[in-house]
Amino acid sequence: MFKVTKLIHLVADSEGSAAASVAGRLQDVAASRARRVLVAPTLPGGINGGDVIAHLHFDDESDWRAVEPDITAQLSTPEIGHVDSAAYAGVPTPAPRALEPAVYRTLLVSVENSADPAVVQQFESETRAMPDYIHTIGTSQLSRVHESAGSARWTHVWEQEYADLDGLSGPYMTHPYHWAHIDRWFDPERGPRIVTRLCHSFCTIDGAII
Amino acid sequence: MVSAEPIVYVVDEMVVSPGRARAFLDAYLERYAPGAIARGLTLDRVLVSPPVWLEDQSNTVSVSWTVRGARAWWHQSLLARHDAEVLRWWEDADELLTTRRRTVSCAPVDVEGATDV
Repeated sequence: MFKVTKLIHLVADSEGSAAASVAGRLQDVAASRARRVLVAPTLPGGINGGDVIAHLHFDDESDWRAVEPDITAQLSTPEIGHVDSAAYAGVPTPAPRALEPAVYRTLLVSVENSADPAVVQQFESETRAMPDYIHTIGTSQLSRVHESAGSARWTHVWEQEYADLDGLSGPYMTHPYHWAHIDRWFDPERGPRIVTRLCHSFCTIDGAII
Repeated sequence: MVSAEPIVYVVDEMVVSPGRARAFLDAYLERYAPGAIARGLTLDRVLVSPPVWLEDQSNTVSVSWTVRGARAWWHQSLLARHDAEVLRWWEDADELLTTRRRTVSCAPVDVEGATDV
């Protein structure tokens, strides 16, 4: 499996219909080769989250490469300011508990080049364990990025499904496994920060997408 | 009024370069503490170990703060990490420190409540 996630940032003075228009065009182009396609406007409350999430799921990288030029062309229009993008492989972690996915959330992070590989592995294993503690997380996937573009060198993608927005804004944020533990990798006030940039974005979905 | 939110202890444990502990603590209390209080943290205690100002060896300075619950913790933390003054403070502080770490804790009696979200 090979996945591409793009966070599309429209220019400030774009028309109100621009997000839907971009989403429709990407959907049409990607559908020819992708196994799953999610292209949707982002919900408010993200951080560097963009206006449209495009999450494309291919059987292998060659399928992505086949549509990449057309996708790139669709993203080279005046209403698009910039795109944060990550291409990656990886294996989803099934939801520990049954839930009907209605919200998809993705986090692009940039881990410092200088970070100790053992520390990066610790960050990864602790992040993958979040669903063991935070009961609103459904299917999830943490992946190392093979190909990055945009406002930073994105190194990881951490994506999850939730039954509703409260699962993300509530327990995901208020469980101490997150704020008192995982967050030390992100917080410049704590000693061991390794994540220097992030994009936090989410949208509604009609069923499983990861 | 009694709050249902658990007390969260935010503790900075900082090992200071030899002979610099008193100057560092003064700077911490002058440059960092007022902003932290403004962001919602309450100063709990300041400890110096060992309790003698060492000249050629390192003191460890521990500063404990409290805040009520996860939402208030996020509030102060997000304000701090997006405040250039705070980031500049920690950059300057690191020049006087050998190591530092911040732990975030609750009393054992509050663990069940903190995780029941």
